[in-house]
Amino acid sequence: MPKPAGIPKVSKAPKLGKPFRKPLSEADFQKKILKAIEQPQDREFLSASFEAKEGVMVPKAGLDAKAAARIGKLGKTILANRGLLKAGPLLASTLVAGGVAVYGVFFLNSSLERLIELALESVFEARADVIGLRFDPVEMDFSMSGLTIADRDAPMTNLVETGRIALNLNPEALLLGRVHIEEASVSTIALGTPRSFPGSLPGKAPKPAEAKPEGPSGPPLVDLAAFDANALLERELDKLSAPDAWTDAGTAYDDAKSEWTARIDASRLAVSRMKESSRAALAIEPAKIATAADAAAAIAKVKEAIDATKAASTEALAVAGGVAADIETARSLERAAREALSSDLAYLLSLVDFRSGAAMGMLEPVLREVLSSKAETALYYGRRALEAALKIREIALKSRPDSSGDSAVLDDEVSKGRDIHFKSLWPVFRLDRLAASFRSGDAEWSAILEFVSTDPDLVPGATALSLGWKRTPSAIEAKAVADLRTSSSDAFAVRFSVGSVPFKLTDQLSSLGLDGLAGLADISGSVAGPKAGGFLATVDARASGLEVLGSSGTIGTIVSDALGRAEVLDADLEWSAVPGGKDSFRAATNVDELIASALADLAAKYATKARNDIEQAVSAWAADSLAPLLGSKSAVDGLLGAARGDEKAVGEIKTGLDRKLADLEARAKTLAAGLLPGLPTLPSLPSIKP
Amino acid sequence: MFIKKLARLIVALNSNVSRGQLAAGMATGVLLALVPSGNLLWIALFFISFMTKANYGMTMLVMGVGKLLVPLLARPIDGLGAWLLRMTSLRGLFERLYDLPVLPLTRFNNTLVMGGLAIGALLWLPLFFAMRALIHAYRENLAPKIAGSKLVKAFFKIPLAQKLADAVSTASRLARAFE
Repeated sequence: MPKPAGIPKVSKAPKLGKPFRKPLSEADFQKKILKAIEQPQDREFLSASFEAKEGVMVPKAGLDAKAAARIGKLGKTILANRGLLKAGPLLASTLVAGGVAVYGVFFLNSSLERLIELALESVFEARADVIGLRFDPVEMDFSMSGLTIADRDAPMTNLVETGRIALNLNPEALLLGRVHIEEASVSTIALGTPRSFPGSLPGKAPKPAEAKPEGPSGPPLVDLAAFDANALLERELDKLSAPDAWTDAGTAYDDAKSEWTARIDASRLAVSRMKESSRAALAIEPAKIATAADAAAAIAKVKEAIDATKAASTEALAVAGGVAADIETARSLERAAREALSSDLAYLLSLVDFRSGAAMGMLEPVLREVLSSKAETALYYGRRALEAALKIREIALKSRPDSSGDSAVLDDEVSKGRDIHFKSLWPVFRLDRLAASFRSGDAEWSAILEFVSTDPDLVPGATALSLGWKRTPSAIEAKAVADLRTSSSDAFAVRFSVGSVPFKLTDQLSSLGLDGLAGLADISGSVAGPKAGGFLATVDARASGLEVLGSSGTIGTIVSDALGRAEVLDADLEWSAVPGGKDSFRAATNVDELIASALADLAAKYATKARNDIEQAVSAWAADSLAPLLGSKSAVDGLLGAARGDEKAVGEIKTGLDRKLADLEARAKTLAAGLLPGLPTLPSLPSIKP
Repeated sequence: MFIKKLARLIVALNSNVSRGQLAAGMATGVLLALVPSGNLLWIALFFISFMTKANYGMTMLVMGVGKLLVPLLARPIDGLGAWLLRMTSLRGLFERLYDLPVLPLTRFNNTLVMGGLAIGALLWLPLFFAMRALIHAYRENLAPKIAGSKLVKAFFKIPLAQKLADAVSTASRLARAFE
């Protein structure tokens, strides 16, 4: 570098540092050197160490090494105080970036594994295990070699177990802090596989199993060829209402008897004493009383007798009223009991009348049980999936604080702040499509899950699951849609079709006397439920190639013949469940008609005799078992008669005493008028009411 | 640890470290204390302060003390953040930011983050200039008087003060070695 002209050469000039290498004018020296020094003594030192020569600042001659070293150090300080940015942190940033890369290589996958497990565990409330997770942040490819999620309600079973899962993530969503899985594939899916260790989580107890809805339990058909009326009565006894009604009526009579017997005895005794005590008062003859004093004494005596009758009179009236009311209650219960007996008789007679719907009544629970056993698993998984979807939605909604500024909410969340969510096109989590297609045994499975999101309103469609199963010549297809969008009132809708699937019913038909029935089923149907809960299921089923697997008893043989003759069985079923209400089940099928017509001949031959037998059996049962329940009835009737007698006697005595008092008061007035002639007639005394 | 940091700060105050750097360190420390950590905004602010010549020791000391005190101010910070985030005139801007890449990772939509950032940003310049003026005044007027006062000499005879003085002298030596 060429030296500026005019600068004198300094021999052995000490090295003063970078800031002093360039010649500086006096103004620059002030601005760039002295202004960068903060301590006054250092500024003074520098000022004293330099001098202006020909317009530039140069070190004074004769600076010793110590001063030069001090100037050198101050030079470094001047450099440090200049500018805004530091070079050193660049190295630190590089180191941090390197650390992040190392973390990514060695720990990112395991951290993500745990993160996903925690997320799944919070949704399914049971242990989740992610196996062999790999994430490629460059390609945004994400895969895991397996995933198991335990069943909260059955900890030794997996709700779902999958093979390899591969995901394709949307990088833009990741930059927004959201997860958007555009495409996912699963190699295998298995439901309900056993676990080697429990999958329950602490504090997440299994939900108590829902009680099975009580179906319409129809009566089994009666085999008329071997009919026994007493046996039928014995068998159906639990379903009859007369025993309870008669017991109620008998209890009412018993209670009335025990309550009133002692009280009526006491009342009768009191009435008898009352008669005794009032006899003297009633015997007084007003005409024979000669003086006013005698009249006053007689009036006092009658009044005393009236007072004495008051308590006994009140009690007799209360007893008579009470017994009458209780007897009326017992009599109404007795009437209800007799009506119950009549309806029980009608019910028992209907069991031998195949035109009354008894066959359908029997078939309904059979059909329902068949449906339940097949649909139960599907409904269970459907409910769990819906529960999980709602949980995801709930978690998403929880992250949206109440915008009302409620102080209770504020107290809880002020330490962490509140997230205000703005309108966005990106939900926190979104899965566009998950596809699985695999072969298990000789069956081909396929499953497609679409549009799962924490904010269902931000995806273009409802959450949908399509399932397919194929094993030549049979095929099953189902599509379940759970629409959690705000605008939709339906929570889920399922459509399914089953084609040429072999079926075999065994235990369900034992009440018909059949060992079993096999054939091929074609079924189509739908299940839909509103967000409020419950569902409506409709099924259109057709069974062909029927084969009865053995029969027993008269009815079994007849039904077996009828089914053997039939080419197809048709059934239209409708099953609706209302939350908190009773399920309703309706079935329209030609099975009822087939069986009813097969039984018609049998019924015609035996029904009249069976009806007579039933009437006799019920009559005998009523006389032997029910009538004794009303044992207290005659005793209670007697009690009522006695109470009424006491009531009447009390009334007569009271009337007699009142009349006697009036006569005596008239006599007293007459005597008083005789004693004081010329005086106006005394005003009549105010009547003294008892 | 705290004594060491304090010692370094005292050394910095009594050395040629730029008062602007010290003031910037202090204002940045307040900002970093007010914004909750654990989000991209805080990390970005920290890195920016790390890359600038703002005095790192001052930043860390002020941030450490500030983080202890900020929970006491959580309610007003939260209130200010909520008010800003719910302002109708800013809603459009926030909605745009919310759907821009990376920005949601700053958690600007959190009331404490937004409130802390607003207060910290508003306080930054006043704190910077006030601190700068105070340091200047201290260095020019107060420091020479303190150094020569009898009270200070007596104070440094106390064991804790001696410890502090030792730490200051060690830090000072180190500082000089790096200068």
